Amino acid sequence: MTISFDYTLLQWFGIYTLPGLAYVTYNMIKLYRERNSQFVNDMLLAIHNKTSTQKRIEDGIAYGAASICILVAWPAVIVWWFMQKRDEPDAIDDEDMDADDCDFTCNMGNLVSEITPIEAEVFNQVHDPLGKAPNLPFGHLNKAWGRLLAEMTEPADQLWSFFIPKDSDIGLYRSVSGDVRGYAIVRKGKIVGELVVESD
Amino acid sequence: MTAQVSEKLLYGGKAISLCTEPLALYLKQNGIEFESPHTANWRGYVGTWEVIEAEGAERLYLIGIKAHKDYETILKLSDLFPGFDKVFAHWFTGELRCPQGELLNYVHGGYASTYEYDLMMEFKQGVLVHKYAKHNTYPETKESLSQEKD
Repeated sequence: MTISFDYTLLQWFGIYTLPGLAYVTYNMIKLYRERNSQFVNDMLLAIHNKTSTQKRIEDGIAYGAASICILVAWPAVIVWWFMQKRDEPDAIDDEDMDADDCDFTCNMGNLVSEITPIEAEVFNQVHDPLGKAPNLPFGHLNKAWGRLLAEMTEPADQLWSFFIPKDSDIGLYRSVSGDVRGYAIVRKGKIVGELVVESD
Repeated sequence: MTAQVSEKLLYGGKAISLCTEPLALYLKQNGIEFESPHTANWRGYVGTWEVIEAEGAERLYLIGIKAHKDYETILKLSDLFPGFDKVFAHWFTGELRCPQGELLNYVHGGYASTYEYDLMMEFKQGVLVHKYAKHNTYPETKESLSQEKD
């Protein structure tokens, strides 16, 4: 009788964890699709002075613990997700462009992807064989990069990379003769700061 | 606007004029502005650039500058970039326009005058990736246009 009761309880617990399992599976697939390139991984490992085995163990423990928490307490995760969603800026698309964007070279339509400061620094190592650029991320623009990061004052601020293709019009009078690339700070769906790292 | 004094470029052992301002992005990103000494130099500085080959690639370097901090004080390269005798323009992606040959049409404004041809040099992050010559013709006057119609 006791064994049968436990079995039923286990069944119900299994059914209870199904939404959590679906959520964990969804996030695992999403993480896999959005994983860093090998180059970025190697650079991040070099920066943090870790081996790939150490990183795998740390990731395994972190993801394992998070998965167990979600399986057991998925209703709390749903509540947390809705609260996060409510505080996030609206979806970013061309329609969000307004007059405020005109202060900057880029607009919301030029944003490519959200990026962490460390990733941006990894992507912007400057190499000059003659040594005529500082051996720092963003080279001669390193101080400007520091000023941009200092503008990220609110917890919900996001750092986005942007790209404007060659021959695009910037403002009323200018067409760029080369690709324009840089980083922008997005706050509540608006650009509040930018650093152009490449332009004519 | 008065025709503007151009930047200088040393390329292939020659000094040529440059109708592009590769330093503009650097100055803007760092909030640096200079004083204009006269109407032919609204930007307040004149830079000297050189394309130097290193490790099999030609790169753009700023090798000198005269920048007006105010009307009397002129800043040099070492003032703007302490510790550097040359500055790699890794931020520059785009085309440099170097007018060459006979002046075909003078325009009293910016870099709008037309020369026989333009040497166009395309850079990607300060590295020369392509160059070509763009031949220009005399601009069509109202008279020539009316003759063509007849």
